[in-house]
Amino acid sequence: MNNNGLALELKGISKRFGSILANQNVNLDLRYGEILAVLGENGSGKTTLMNMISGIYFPDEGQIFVNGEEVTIASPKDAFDHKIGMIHQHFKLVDLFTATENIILGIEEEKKYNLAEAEQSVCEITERYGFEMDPKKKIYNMSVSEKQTVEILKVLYRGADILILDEPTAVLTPQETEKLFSVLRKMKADGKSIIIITHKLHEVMAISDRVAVLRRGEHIATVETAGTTETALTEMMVGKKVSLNIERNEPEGSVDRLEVRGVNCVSVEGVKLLDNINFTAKGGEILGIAGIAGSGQRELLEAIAGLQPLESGEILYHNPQNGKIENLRNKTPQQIRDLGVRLSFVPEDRLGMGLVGNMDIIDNMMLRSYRRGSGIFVDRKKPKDLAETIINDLQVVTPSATTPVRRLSGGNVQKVLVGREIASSPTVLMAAYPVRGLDINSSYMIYNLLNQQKKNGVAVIFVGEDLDVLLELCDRILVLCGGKISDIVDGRTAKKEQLGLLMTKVNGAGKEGEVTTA
Amino acid sequence: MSEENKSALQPEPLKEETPSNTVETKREKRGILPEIHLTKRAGVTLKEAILVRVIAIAAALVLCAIITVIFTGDNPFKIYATIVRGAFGKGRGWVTIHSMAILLCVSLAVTPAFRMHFWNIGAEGQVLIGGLATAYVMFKWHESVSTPVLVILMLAAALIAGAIWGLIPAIFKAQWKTNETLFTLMMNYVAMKLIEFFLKIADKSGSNVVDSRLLGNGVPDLFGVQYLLNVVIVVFLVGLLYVYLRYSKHGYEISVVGESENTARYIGINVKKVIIRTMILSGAICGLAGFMLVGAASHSVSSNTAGGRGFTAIMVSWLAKFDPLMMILTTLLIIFMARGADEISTIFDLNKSFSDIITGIILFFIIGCEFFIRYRVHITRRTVKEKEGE
Repeated sequence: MNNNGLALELKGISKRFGSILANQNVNLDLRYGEILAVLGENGSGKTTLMNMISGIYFPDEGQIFVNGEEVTIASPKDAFDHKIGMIHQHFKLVDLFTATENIILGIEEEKKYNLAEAEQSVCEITERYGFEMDPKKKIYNMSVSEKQTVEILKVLYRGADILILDEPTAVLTPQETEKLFSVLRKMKADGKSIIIITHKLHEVMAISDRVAVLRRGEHIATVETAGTTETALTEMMVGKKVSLNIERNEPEGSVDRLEVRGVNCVSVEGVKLLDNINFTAKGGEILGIAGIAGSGQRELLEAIAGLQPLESGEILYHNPQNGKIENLRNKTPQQIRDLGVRLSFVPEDRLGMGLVGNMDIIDNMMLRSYRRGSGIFVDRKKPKDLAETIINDLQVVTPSATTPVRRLSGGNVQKVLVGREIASSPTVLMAAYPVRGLDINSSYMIYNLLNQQKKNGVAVIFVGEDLDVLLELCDRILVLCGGKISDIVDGRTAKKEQLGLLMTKVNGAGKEGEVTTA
Repeated sequence: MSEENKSALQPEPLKEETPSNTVETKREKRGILPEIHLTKRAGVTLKEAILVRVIAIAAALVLCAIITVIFTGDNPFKIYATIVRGAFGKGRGWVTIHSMAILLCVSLAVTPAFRMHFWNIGAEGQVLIGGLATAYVMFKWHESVSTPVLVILMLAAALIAGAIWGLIPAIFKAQWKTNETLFTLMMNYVAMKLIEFFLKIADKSGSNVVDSRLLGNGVPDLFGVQYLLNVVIVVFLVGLLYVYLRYSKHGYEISVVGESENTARYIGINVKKVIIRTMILSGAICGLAGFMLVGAASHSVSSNTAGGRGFTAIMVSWLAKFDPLMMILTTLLIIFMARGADEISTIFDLNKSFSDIITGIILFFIIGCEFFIRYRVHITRRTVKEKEGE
């Protein structure tokens, strides 16, 4: 075998979906018996790349080598034939089957179907790598972590030598994560090559031998974990360290605008999403919200927007026109608007919630305004003017105002959405990750728009993931952790490390510490 | 080692030229593995789209001709001529137009629901129940009340019955997220059985059709022209639905709910209300079709009154991409094919199945070509090393 010691090698892999370039000329290699972390922001093309290795997608360009041989991977079966197995983020298991039944499902073997024998071999694998698993347990009785174990066993049972795990820790508790990591280390010792996708830096440091960083679909670099730092990785992940210098004026004449009092919120499964949230957003200031993804940011904004039912608590709006205080709790978005509350919301899911992808820019402008007027017909004249104004003012790159927004690039989609939300001259503007996936110029345009709103006396709530931006842009920063407020700090004096600490603080215990110690 | 270096270096100059695979084949003698894969087209020009469709129809006609020659030995061109004659020959045009009108009406009915991504396959039942309501009013009062009153009663009964048949699955969908496809399908059978029940009560002879002997003459012909009323109603309805879906607030809400329920919620649209309202409309228009069939065309009712139009309408609506104006063309296509197929099976003394095969092939190509409008098929030649060290 002529393989330069490489289990897997990708050369010049590109993949596009319509006009979106998901991967561009990616080169990547995986050695025998190593754990390679693939790191990148959301939308940087990590999952797409892995899906091409495991046969879900087929690359438009490029070559894949397994053990030094060029191969064609056109289906997951091809991938298995080359001993590549992927553990997806969303499990694909039959609930009513036992672990073993799921594991052997779909395997074509010459010999007779023998469950007992299969169970025996499953047990051998679990013992070898130190899994904890009852092969007779039904899937519906299992915890998320157990289900994940079944997925991993499924891949191992088929004899995979290259394992790809797509964000395996996203659904695990710190303890479960540590268990998973110890299993991965044993597999590595056994000579398996492992790719793990994640965007959690501390996990990268804890588990991987090397790190490959992707940014906007391109492979930036692969570095030895031992020779790098979290800061260096962050820079690679988000691009050049640019001094941000976002303009920040002193808030003027700020008045209380939105008061959130003792808000609690529980998911359908009974998990607490928001836990006793108290804060006040003031007109003329930008309130930042920081936190690890999934700490309750979305629920909080949706609760204010009338999309998330509350368990308890109050959301009070101070109307600047008549000085009245309105309780927005458990009101629908329409009822909130009928109260005269001018609340604008730029949701995280731009095309799935904020806009309709298949509609053109004009019709998307209409989402907010189509009810105006008493007639039964919609007025497209004003939305058309607004669409043209936004296209001009915000430099939206589009063939015309009648182009479906899903055809636009991410940054232009966001300009359309933010433009529309600002056009309704709000008194409260909530923006969730408004610069995610945007290039520097578009990002700055969004920051300027938010600052403009702040100057106009709007209470701006900005949910962000980039701590540097939060620190430069926001007047105050509210830090969420596990649905709770860890603290509200002053954006001018707070330090990045301080925010990082607050973000991981659950009941005083450091999440990070638990993972890295073992 | 030198071998490795060579292969490691080789990709470099290639990338500068072009990433095409043909260069690779030149570079080294390799085994070739053809590979087909698909990519979504970024945008399709109207010209390309029309071209693909024309090719599809031509291909369908060629295939049909081949099959005709092989299995029947008849001249395919004569067969095609007969199809045209069957639809538009002497004395046929008006009947064809009426068939179009009825099918178009049912297609228009399912369209608002489809635009909302509510997969109503219960048009058959909604038409039947509308027809049954009409028939019942006729059966009960055709002798006792004056014609204008009777017509109003028939129409009202048909609209209400159809609307209820649409409303029931809508409520379940809105409240409990039941599967509307299965639900509306089952409602078809309920409607069918209700008609059979009515037949038993109305006609003691055990006939499976109740006709004008028991129902009276229903709606008088407009200006003495048979079917004219139905055609006028449907022409009017096409315009109405076109405007409703495109320019009304309701139509806009339907599109938003259909495209993204999340966006609809976000913007404050009452999704449940829209689902229920739209299905009432959808059902009522089906009811209207039932009224036209029973009250203004055949003056009879049977469990076959809808005649599968509720299902054909689904195809008409999809083919027209839910655009009421386009639906005139797709209805024409379907009715044309169906009537032509009937004609060839009688003229050439062919089995009815054969004309169905011809229709099937043509529709398959027309629908299938949409795939090529959406996706581009790449046939690449992946290269795989055949032998080590050549």
